[in-house]
Amino acid sequence: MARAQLPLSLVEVALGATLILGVALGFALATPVPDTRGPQLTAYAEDTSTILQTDPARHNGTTRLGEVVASQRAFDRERANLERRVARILPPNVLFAVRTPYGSVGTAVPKRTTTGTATVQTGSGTVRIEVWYA
Amino acid sequence: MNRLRATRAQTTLPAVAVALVLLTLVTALGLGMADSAIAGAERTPDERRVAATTAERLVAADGPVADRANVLNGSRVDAFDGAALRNGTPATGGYAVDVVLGGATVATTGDAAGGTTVRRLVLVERTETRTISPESRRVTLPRRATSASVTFSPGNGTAVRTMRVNDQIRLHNDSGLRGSYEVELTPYRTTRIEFQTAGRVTSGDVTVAHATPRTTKRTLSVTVDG
Repeated sequence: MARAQLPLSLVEVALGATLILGVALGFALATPVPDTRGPQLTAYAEDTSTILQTDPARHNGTTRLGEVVASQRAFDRERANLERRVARILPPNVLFAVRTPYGSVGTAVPKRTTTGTATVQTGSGTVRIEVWYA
Repeated sequence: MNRLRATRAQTTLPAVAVALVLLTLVTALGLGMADSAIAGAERTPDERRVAATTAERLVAADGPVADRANVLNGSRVDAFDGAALRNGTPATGGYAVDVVLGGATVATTGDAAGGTTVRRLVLVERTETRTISPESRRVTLPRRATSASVTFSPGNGTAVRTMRVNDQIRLHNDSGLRGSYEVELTPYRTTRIEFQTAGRVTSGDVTVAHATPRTTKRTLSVTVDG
């Protein structure tokens, strides 16, 4: 019975190539890529909170952040100014959401996006600043 | 036995050679890929760490150029250079570092064009001194003024005896105030200065030079190339 056979060496080279390429693909894909966006965004959020905490208040109060969370009326009055101030502090390609006990300012936080967060404790509650790349 | 061998195909030598060459190629390719992947992952952490540390140091309240946290002193920024950067932030030793503030290079220690960049948001505070020469007994200074230098050079008959700041007596002399006085002010409210004199205050009798800090928002980027 004359049977033609695939040369064993070619079978072996196919298997070997698959194995080696698989290992190489593992290196190429599974190597942890450093998360560079998260720390940068966190730095932006922290800087924004620091600047808001050292900004002098527009009316009465010690700092701009303290003024905003003083009361519902103060927040409603300062809301537009706070939004403009935070937008000016942050680079143009960064969007933000500032959550205070009396309401939020900025854009809604998208899901599944790397964000940077800074929280500030104040006498009347927690202010949470979240930023992400537009 | 002889018949049996003739009917079976056998691995041929050329096939072995081709297989070897192919396998060697694939191995070399795989090694190259793995090497570049590992090199790419390994190169940046050091640069990123140094850049983050340097940026953190520069914006810290006790840093070499900052007045308060995230508020840089404009005149100290102007005096800042590569040598001061090396001394102020020891972590930069052995790296090329570029510190750029709002698009203008502030300090540089070597060419860090292709490196890793960390950005921080800062305010740059510069003190502006403005001089006014009041023409009435009352003068109001802007809220943020932190200090004022008041100079009295009254003409005949317009001796200023008392200067009040926000209804508090700060300077007083029965025979008339003369010369320059430094007055500290509160930056949290507008300052009303009132002069008490028998005559009229005319332009030139009193000059008030008040220092007002002005802040501008800037992006501080630190680029590090190892």
